[in-house]
Amino acid sequence: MNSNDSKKVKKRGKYTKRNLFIASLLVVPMLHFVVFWLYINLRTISLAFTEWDYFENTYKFAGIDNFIEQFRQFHERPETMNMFINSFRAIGINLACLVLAILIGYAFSKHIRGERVFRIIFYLPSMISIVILTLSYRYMFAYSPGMLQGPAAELLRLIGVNYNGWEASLDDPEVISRLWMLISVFCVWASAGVNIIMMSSAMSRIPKEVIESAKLDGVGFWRELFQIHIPLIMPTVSVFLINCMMAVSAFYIQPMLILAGNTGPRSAYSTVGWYMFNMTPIAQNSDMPQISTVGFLLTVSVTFLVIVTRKITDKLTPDVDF
Amino acid sequence: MKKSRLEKKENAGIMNVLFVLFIIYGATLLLPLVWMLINSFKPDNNEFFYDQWKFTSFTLENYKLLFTGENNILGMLANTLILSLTIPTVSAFFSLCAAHAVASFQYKLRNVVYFIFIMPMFVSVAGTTPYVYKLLNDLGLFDKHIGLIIMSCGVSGFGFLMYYSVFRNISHTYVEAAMIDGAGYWRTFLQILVPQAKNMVVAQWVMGFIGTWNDFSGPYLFMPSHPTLGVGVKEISDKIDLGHSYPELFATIIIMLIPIIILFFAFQKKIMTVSLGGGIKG
Repeated sequence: MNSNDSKKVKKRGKYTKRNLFIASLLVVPMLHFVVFWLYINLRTISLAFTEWDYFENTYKFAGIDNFIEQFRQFHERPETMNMFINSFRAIGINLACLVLAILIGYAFSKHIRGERVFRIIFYLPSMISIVILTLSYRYMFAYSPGMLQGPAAELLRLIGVNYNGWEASLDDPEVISRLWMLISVFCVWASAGVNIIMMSSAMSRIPKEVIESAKLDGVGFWRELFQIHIPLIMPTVSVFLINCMMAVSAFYIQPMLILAGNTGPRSAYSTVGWYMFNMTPIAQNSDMPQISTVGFLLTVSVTFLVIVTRKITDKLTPDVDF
Repeated sequence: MKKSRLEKKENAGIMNVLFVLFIIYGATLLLPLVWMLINSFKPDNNEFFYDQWKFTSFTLENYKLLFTGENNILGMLANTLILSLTIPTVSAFFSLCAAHAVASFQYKLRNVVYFIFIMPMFVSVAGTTPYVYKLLNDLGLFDKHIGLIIMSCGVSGFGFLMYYSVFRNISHTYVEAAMIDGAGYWRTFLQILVPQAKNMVVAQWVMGFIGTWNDFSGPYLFMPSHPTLGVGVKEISDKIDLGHSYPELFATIIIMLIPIIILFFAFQKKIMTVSLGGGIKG
């Protein structure tokens, strides 16, 4: 064996060692990806096109029968659509969060008095368990005379709202919309922190010269916000909006914990995520195709919304680099 | 300096209005917590219902009961600690491994691997939880701590991206020098590269700890016989009308909050720099 050959062997040995190392780094994360992401997702999607065969104890291909059945239900029992409609409330709530975060972030970028203390206090809810936050919110809005009477509930009654607490007659359409209002307020109230950080750090990347030259041109407070800050943080806003479209399918924990089981099987308060949560421990094999169908319909609509959002925000984003 | 003072004067009106609104918003965030803290020291429901906003009486009995009573929270505390300590650790470790494998070596499938690890950040399929539940049952991992831990032995997209950019920017000569000195691949990785990402790892770990500590759905669905503090608080609050006392519930909540508040103030700057995913708090 000449020296050239032995070098090659050595080099190959080195490479095998290197490749073995890379493989050992990747084996667990890859396995995790294949089992808990790829397999789970493909399995869920494929089940939407099957039905459970009670005689053979297997899933059997059913084409689009599940979807036809689902749309027939939408038509015959419109209340089955409620959970979809309610899931999309998450978008409205997220938009309210966005407006608030931009406004507060803008005030921070103008160094409002006590900025540093506010930053910490506003961030605090992001660190606290959703169980605790929803409980404290529930108690603030509780109205059961002689027992818990939250200050927020008393305030509402003081200003003349006919508010009867969480245990009011839940089927009344007025109560339904009021409770959804309270849930939305909770979400905005508890979510400001992270969003503010996101927006104000995007604003801090805007070059000082741009803002100063606008100042010299006599641009006022609101005009500066709408014509300089917001257009220049559009890339961040776009990321936020896409995240919030994707969050539609995971929207359930806030209404679920705030209403704390008072709703019973009422569909007026349900969301798709909540339905999934409820079905998880009790789903039989025969339920899986229908669950997957509901999930698939939501996934498709969310994907569509993400693409549309992408298109719109791309149009709104000015073509600048800094 | 002069300019900024002038600017402040210009917007003084709006800024003052915002300042007042901020104080009100901040107060609504803090007051419920203060209310729970005050009332966690009340002896029982009667005292609590009588006056919810005053420090009328003070007792540590509720806290003592939590640790020594019949319905103590020691089990929940242990379950919460086990998960909160292991989950961020395994998640950080495997994210570091994946980032190293993608950032530091050249090979054919490198880009595919990179794509695989960031894809879960952009694609989410609805309605998978019931199937995860079934899978855990089939694998014999249901209702065990190890089930939730194994589910987190993957790559966290955001952590992966951060570690990836750290490893990308480390000079190759640094690594080569270590290899020439006889350090193997694993030693170079763990002793030379990982310390470079220390700040990121700490920040991610703390966020992971807090997230796991606060988690409700995971342990509730996949570990029903081993409740964590989050699940426990929810269960106590559901049964509150059946003779549980509010002060005791509030004491449990305060116990659950203490480690989070300490970690938040200790790592406040780091936490705020890594929290970039927005949306509704969940």
